[in-house]
Amino acid sequence: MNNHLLINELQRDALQEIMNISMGQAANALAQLINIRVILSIPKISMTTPDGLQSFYHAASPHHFARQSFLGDMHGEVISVISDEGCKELGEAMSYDQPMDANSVNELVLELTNILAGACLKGMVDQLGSRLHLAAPSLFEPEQQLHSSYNWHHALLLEILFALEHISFSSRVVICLDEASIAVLAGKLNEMLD
Amino acid sequence: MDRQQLFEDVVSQLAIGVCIVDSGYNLVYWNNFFADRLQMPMADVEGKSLLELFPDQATFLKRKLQSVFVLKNASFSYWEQRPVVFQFKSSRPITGEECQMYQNVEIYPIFNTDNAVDRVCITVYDMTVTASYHQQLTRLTQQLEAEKQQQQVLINKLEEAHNQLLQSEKMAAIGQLAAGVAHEINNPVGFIFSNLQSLQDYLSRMLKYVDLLSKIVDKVPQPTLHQLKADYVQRNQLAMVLADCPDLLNESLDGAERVMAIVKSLKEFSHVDSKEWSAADITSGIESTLRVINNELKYKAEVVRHYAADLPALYCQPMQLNQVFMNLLVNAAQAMDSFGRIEIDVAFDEQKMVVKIRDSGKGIAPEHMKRIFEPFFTTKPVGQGTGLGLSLSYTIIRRHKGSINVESTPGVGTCFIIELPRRSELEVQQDEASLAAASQHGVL
Amino acid sequence: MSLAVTIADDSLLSRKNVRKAVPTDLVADITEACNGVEALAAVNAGKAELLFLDLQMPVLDGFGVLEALQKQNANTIVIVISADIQPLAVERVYKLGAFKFLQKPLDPSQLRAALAEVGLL
Repeated sequence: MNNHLLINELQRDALQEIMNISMGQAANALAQLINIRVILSIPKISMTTPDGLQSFYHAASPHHFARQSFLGDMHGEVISVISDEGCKELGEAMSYDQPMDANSVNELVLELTNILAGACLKGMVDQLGSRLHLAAPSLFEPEQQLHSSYNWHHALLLEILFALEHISFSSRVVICLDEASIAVLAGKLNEMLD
Repeated sequence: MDRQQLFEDVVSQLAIGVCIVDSGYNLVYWNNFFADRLQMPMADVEGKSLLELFPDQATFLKRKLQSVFVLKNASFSYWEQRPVVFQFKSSRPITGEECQMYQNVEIYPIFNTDNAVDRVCITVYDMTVTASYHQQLTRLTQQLEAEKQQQQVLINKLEEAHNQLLQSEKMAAIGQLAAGVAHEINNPVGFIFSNLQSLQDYLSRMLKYVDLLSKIVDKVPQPTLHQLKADYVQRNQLAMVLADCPDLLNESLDGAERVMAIVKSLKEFSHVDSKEWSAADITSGIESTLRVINNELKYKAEVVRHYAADLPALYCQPMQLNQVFMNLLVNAAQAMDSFGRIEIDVAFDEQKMVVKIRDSGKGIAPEHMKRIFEPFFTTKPVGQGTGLGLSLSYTIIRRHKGSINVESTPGVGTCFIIELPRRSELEVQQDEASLAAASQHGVL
Repeated sequence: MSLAVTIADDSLLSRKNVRKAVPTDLVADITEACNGVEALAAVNAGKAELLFLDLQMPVLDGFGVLEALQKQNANTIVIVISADIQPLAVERVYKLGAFKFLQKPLDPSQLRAALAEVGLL
């Protein structure tokens, strides 16, 4: 897979930096909300195909999956994969009623998805001088996805790993942009680079 | 009407709840949706803390509002996870069908001119109708799932029953074969036995005759004749032959008698399906059952009988009762971990006969006691027990208006107690007739 | 006044943004570094009287650079420009002797304010 299919090296560098900055803002906001230091990885930028996205869902340990679509100059979907491990502790830190049943874990997953996706995207669109609206997140089961129904061939994946200090917890947030939105993104990056 | 007035009017009448709070979570505005349902007009609540107005959800609201102020992004809540955020009066005030409103809530930031967020807007959507459809659907799905599982159980049972049927057909075929063989053997064995009896009679006469002749020869004063006899007796080992003959015949008679007994049992058991009512001796039924399953029992347990003297005949279905005895005896034998003891008590009083079959086997686990008479209940490995034996026994005893009970101590043994009322032929006929009438009317 | 300035950041875009924000009359010479090691080399070569330093960099990160400078008592004014804005990071940066912490994305007016604080403007 050619990672540089739809954006060039300069654009990629710029996007990387924008993501770094978004992450910093997101981590700072998160730390304020849950009073736990957030450890962020450097965002990974790659191109994927429907098959590639499918393999992304394979996880050894129990995970929760949620997704959230966004609309605006660019549109796409944010998918978050959240480990079951650590959810209880995180729920406690976020003052969820204890003990947590399956329903409140679901609520936590949705809230985390909204916070993580919102924080990542907000930083990104603010820097790009773009605007977008996030729809409500929903839970989903990757096994039940018919990937043959995807109407795209290539998508840009922006993958961010979140971990927490002192709590064994991990989550991945992937921002997927389709071909049309990638073109819009490339244009915005060019404006910034000029 | 100017634009602002227009928008205010529209928002106040929206069919969704709209509520605006400031960064201290104090109320700036709510529309009629809130005011009407809570019967708290805007003027009464302006400036009040939202968290104090809804103390039950204060923790939740605070967390959500905080995240919107900090992240400057919308936040959501769904009826699936949190059905009721705001405690409203019934959303169905007339029909009272739903006492709580299921809600989706969306909280989003309102940016001021400095691009900062000092207020957020809370919108509430009534999801009650969707939720009730959804719940109905979920219930229906669960019901279907449960029914599907029940059907699967039923299918398994049917399969078992089918296997049982095959097995019983096989048994019936073997039974018929046995009856045929028994019939064929019965005649020759009969004449072998009676011929042997005649032969025994003749032989004793011939032996006497030989004895007489021998004595006569001894009395004749002719040494050559004596020598000749002695030589003959010696050569043919006649002393041994003559002594052996009665033993041989006795043994043969004994053998023939045993063959006849087995043939008789086989003939009786080839009628095992017979539901004929007759006056019968219970103990002879038990004995013929014991003969048939002798092979199953002899290495497993010693059988001890306590039969009451002068036992009266019982008007019953003898072959059906034999089936019950066989089931209980075979179970008893299979319950033995090592060589044990099976005791059979038969007693009676004016009203009833009581048969107890007690074994020294491993006993029945307490959790299984209630279920042992259920059809298809078995603790034996798959394929070794149909789980029908005891339920069949139960049905047979009920048909005799009797009862079958069990007492068991794990590790000590089990005792089955069968009580059979002593009914006259007339009583039985009346009971059977009313049973037949009931089944025709579809009561059974 | 004209200074030897080094901009250390692994991102081309960020280096560009800093370049655009620095008043031209202040600068004699601008060196660009893509990681911490290159940044230290620039300092040692006397090309960094003023150092704009990113924290997240390959090979040697910004904290590593600050530690090395502190050790060798270097006479360099360091302005950290970072995406990691969690309070703990900021605190550590100041402890390691940075003059100013600026958050990304860089706001040119904040940069000028910082330069004024140092007395360079």
